[in-house]
Amino acid sequence: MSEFLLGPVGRRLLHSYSWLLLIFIVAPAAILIPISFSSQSSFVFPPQELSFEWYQRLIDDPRWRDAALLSLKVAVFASVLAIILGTQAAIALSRMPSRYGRYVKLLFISPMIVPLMVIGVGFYVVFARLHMLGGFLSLGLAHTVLVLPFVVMPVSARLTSLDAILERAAASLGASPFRAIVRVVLPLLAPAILTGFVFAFFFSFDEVVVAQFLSGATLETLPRLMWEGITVGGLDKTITAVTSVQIAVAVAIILMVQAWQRRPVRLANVVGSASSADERANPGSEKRPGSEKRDFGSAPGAGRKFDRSGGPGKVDDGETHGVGISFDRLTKRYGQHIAVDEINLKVEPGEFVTLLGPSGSGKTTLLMLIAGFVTPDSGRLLLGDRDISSIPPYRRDIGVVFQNYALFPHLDVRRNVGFPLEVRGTAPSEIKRRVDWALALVHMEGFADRRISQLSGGQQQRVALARSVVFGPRALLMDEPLAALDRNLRLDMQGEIRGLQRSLGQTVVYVTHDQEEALNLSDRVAVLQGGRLQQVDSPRDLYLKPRNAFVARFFGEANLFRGNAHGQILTLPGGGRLPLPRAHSGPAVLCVRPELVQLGPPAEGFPVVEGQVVDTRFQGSILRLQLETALGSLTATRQITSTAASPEVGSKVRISWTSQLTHVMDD
Amino acid sequence: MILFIAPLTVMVVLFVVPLAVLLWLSFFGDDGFSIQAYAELTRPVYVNLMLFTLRLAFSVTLICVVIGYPIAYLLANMPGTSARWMTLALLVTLWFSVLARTYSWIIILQRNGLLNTMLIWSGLTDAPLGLVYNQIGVYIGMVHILLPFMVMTLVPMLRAIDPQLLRSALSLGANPRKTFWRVYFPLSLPGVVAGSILVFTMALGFFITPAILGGGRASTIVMAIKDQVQVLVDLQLAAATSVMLLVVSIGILLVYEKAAGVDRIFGTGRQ
Repeated sequence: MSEFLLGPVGRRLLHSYSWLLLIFIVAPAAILIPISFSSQSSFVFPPQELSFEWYQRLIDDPRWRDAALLSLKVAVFASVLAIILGTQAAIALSRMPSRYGRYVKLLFISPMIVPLMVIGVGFYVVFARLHMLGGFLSLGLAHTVLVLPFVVMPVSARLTSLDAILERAAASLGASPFRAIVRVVLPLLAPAILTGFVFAFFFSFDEVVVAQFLSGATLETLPRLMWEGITVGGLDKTITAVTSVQIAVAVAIILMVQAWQRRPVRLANVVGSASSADERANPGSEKRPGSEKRDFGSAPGAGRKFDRSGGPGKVDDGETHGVGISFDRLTKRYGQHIAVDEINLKVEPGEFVTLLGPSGSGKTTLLMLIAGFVTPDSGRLLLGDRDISSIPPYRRDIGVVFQNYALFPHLDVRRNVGFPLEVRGTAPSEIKRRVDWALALVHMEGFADRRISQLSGGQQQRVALARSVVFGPRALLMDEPLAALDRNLRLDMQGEIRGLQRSLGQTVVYVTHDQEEALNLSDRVAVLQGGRLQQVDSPRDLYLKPRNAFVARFFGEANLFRGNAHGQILTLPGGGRLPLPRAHSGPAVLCVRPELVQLGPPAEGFPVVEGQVVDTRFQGSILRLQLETALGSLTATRQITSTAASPEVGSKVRISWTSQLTHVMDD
Repeated sequence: MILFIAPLTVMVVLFVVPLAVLLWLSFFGDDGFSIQAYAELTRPVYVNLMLFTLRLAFSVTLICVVIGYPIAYLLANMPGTSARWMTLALLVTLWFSVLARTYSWIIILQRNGLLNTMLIWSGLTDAPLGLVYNQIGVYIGMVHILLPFMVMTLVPMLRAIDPQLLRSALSLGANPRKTFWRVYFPLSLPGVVAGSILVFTMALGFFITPAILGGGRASTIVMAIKDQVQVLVDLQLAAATSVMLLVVSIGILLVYEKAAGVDRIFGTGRQ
């Protein structure tokens, strides 16, 4: 921590300084409260005897009482109106392109910056011409404008720190934009709105400059009376009573807010540390070996019973449940950049297809197109046999698992999982049953009442999964859902996701950049690069028969040889000749996987290729060799067996491979 | 965008229109177009008033930075009892009636007030010091009111400084003092500037505190506006003075927005 910058002496000095300053800050308040309880009309400190004279006066004297009530009314009017308008403005601002947005925001903030006197004169001139001076409404509206910044600022700040993905998650779970705002955005904004309200209220309650201009002779607010008391009346002590009440209210609000904020945090800390201790004590707690498959065997029955499309028992075990997805020349451009370029793909019902590609290859854009968060520029997108290109996300019935889970922090596990059912108006008893079913599906039965902050990453992942299947979606989309987990947990979750998909018969489109994950999970893998589909095939075909050099290199490791093919011979630019597995002609690439490269005497008919070992690396079950040969740099891998000695670095070797196992493709 | 209709209407009708009317009024008085009002403003009285106001705002801002920075540092880096009390005190102060505070300062600072009584009793002075109804009182009152705004803007900006950078500076051989001046302080400058802009613009338009605690010896430009309206009844002149002040404060804000983004003010922006 930056505490390092201060030694013990410096720290003590800073603390003393802060206590000194604390006295300066609280002095005015500290002096007023005791005085308000003293009966003398001169100022004696400490007060001689306890008296409530000034408080009594506040209640009895009609002038003070009416002024206080009027100020209260104005402040409530202005701050309520301000939170309504200010919240609207902040939400609208968050959706505005930032170039114009910053100036509009500046407009909403400027009442705090422009001197009150200037605004006051402006109001005075306008309201005087409209004969509206001295009216409650004109003062209330004027104050509304003055306090608007106190709402807009904290609410927009909260909005920028909120993850926009939560709104997307709400939409993918079936909440309309209005519902997403009411159910997700507003509850999360509540603390900021409350802060804004309190600031707005206190400001309006205390405002005197504009009030003096607008109130005419009739409208006597509390600050006006106080102003008069201070400037003309010779320090009326009723002010001390008013102020003491104000301070008491302010302190009470702050203490309440602090207590309210601290309680759940403390709870979360305690429970959170306890559960992580559990995990440490029992590292296998995330893992339930062997149980997955059996559990899933019983789950789908329950799932289907609740499914809205099929009645109980309508669907038999093993029958697919998801719907097919097809893209027809789907294209999405961002300015000059083509993110998705005329993609054609047909995902069968119940199929697990993985979109694999490096970052920027368009895989997430493609997923967001299916989910409906991005609209295609051209092409068609079919779910089953329906074109869904123009259907908003919340009516697509597609479950989405987002990269960082996008669980709603203000709802507990049960409410999170029940969210898609709630927004669809499902009956509470039905919601409970289906949530229990979904949580059982991911082994989270015992966590229904936990807060999201009390869950580990793996547990959050499970809840997100349960939430995305609980409403019986027509397809399931996953955007690198396991990227944030450690390797062991990732392997476990892969098994669970695969089991879940099979048992539910769900159609799944899964995005990842991890080829091992793609191998473990998918029926078919679609390799993407530069917004174009390179190849769509089963993992086996993708590995054995890559269509081009990019796929060969991205999916597994490959030694690639470019050259000109003629019959079963590939002529390299340097003049070397290599055998091909089948006849080919024209420019071609020969792909030789590292495990095919053999050291030692060559197979029959293989040209003599000499090489030198430049590096060896032990990688668990295999040994990786880096070779420098006449054909260029080569990688070879060998299974490690106890008998074979590994070649030394620097040793000369002859290499070869079985030509039938290699693969040739167009360049 | 539907959301914008109501708030924008309110802002335009109740904020932009009144200010636009002022602009109009400053040029078009009872006898048609004239820049008479602006010419009036170049008189030494108003020039001196404006200069005094600027100097006052500038000094108050400087004092707030000097006093507030260590407090913000404490709040940002050293959580504990003093930090908790300080936060509570600052928040209560923010919500504590400006009028009441001004009133309270009179009680503390007046000739037979609390501070003078204590000073005489302790023997530090023989006669009561004139602490209020002059510029000293104005400074004390304004710093007290504006300090929380400075600290509240600084704290989040200081918190956002990556401790990793300090550790690396220390590991690279900079002693704590050098680390502070060469790494921490430069990184905190945007926060200092943000807080200063906020405090400065607020100080420019301050009315209550200088009007009461100044006792007539610290006239600022906004007090002149009030006189122009209520005593001189010269609305055109008041409008012209207002427009000038408006241009200055909006100008500062725009320059700052261009340079750093207004989100930083109040420390509420993204970090």
